[in-house]
Amino acid sequence: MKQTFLDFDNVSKSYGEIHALKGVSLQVNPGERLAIIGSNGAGKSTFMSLASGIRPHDSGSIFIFGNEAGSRVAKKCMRILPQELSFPPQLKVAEILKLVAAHYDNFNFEKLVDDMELDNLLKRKAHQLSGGEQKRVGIVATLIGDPDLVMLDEPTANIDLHGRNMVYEILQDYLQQEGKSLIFSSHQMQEVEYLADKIIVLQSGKVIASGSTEEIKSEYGLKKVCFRSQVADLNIPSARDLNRQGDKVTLLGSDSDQMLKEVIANDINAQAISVSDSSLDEILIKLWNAEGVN
Amino acid sequence: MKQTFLHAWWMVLELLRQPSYVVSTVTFPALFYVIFALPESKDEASSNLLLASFSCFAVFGVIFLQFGVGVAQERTKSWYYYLRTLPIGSLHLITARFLSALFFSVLAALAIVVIALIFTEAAMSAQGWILFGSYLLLGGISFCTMGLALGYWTSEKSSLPVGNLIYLPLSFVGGLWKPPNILPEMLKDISSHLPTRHYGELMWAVVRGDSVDIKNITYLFAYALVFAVVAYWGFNRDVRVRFS
Repeated sequence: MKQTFLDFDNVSKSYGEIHALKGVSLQVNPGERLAIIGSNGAGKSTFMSLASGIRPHDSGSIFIFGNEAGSRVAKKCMRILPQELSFPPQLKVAEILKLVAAHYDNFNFEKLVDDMELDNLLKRKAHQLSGGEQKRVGIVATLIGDPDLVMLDEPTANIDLHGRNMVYEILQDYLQQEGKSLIFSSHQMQEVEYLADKIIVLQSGKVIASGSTEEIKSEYGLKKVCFRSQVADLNIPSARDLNRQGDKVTLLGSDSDQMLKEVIANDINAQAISVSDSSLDEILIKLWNAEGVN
Repeated sequence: MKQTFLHAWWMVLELLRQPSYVVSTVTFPALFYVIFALPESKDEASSNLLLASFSCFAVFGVIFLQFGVGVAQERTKSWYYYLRTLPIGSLHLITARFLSALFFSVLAALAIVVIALIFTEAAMSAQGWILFGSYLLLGGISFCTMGLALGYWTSEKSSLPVGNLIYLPLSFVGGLWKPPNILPEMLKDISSHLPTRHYGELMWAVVRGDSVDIKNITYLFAYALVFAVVAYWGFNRDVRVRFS
């Protein structure tokens, strides 16, 4: 029987009057890649700090491979990279990595260092690193010990394009190993589509949408029909939204075929017609609007 | 255990690479020794007593003040949160922090011993030096819980001034700068109940070659116990405030 890796059951967490998580339930199975998306303050970082055992939850239960979150066994098989992490300023990168590696049996981090192009930084003190370099060191430190589950809170924030590609490659290498799981939060939807096979959307501490990328798109996404036309009056009843910028017209609706039929029926000499799915960004904005988020 | 020593080592490294920290930690008690003790070190007996007093002052300063301030400061750092995600218990990390303080307390005491050996008639037998070092550290360890209490009950910014407000008066009234018999009567009464006084009494007995009074050890142990409770209370409060 396949064992659930992370099991959140009706978990709630408050900071005084602020309800950071409200009855969140979800499961992550070995091999899954879960992206947590949501606006600032939606509860993403709280989710991770509860799963890693840094903070206690108020109610519900959190288990990692059947062990309580925060237990020594749970900490052995999962690692987290918090959103903000400043290393001790006077320690060298090599010393930091050795210190982390000392908590795991005979782990050699040379390949990770190589893959992340940190060789030149090993003798540099932490206070001499840029924000992006600190983040790359943090990601290598998080992968030390070959954990079964890695949780990354906005892993590529502050990292340049080259660094971001290295992060993606190193994570893909890690995920190619059997049973390795990833949970990450991000505000970059391209990153979400690239790394995740499952998404949850958090808002005000609640899960407002969840499923695979395709499921989210088909359930919450709309079809987009774009074309150019000089005609001002358009009658497209099946479009939920009609947006015009100059001669460029964008229609949003659930049935692209019907919208196309109606465009043709309008006899407006439409040019450069294209049909596409709405992006994750657009879906997220739609979900936020439905929840009353500005 | 290996991990505890490794954490202690990086804490030592981190501080050793800050010359301002090393110089101030090692030279501050030594400077006090030069100003207050050297002129009074007229013969072997007085030199040994003053060496004992100021060595206590140095060790107490590092283990109480530096350790406490270190705990208060690291509590606010993201690195401290990160360490909580590693498979190592909080007790190991606190022990490591204490061991790093112990390292610097030895350095601070050594600076005073070296000055005493060069400029005064301080002298002891080999066995005397071993007893001196052993009781100095054992007595100093008893202030570790006081340092922890300081670390958990003060903030990053208030820990140093609050610590100094405790450290300097306790050292003076405890008789570590000037002999307690020259204190005003009211302070003499207070002095006899202070942990610094009992630390001093313990070390004065050692350098005089007298047998150690169990009363001094009992006082130090009792204080360590009381502050352990205060520190534990502060630790729980901190965890509640910071992580709940």
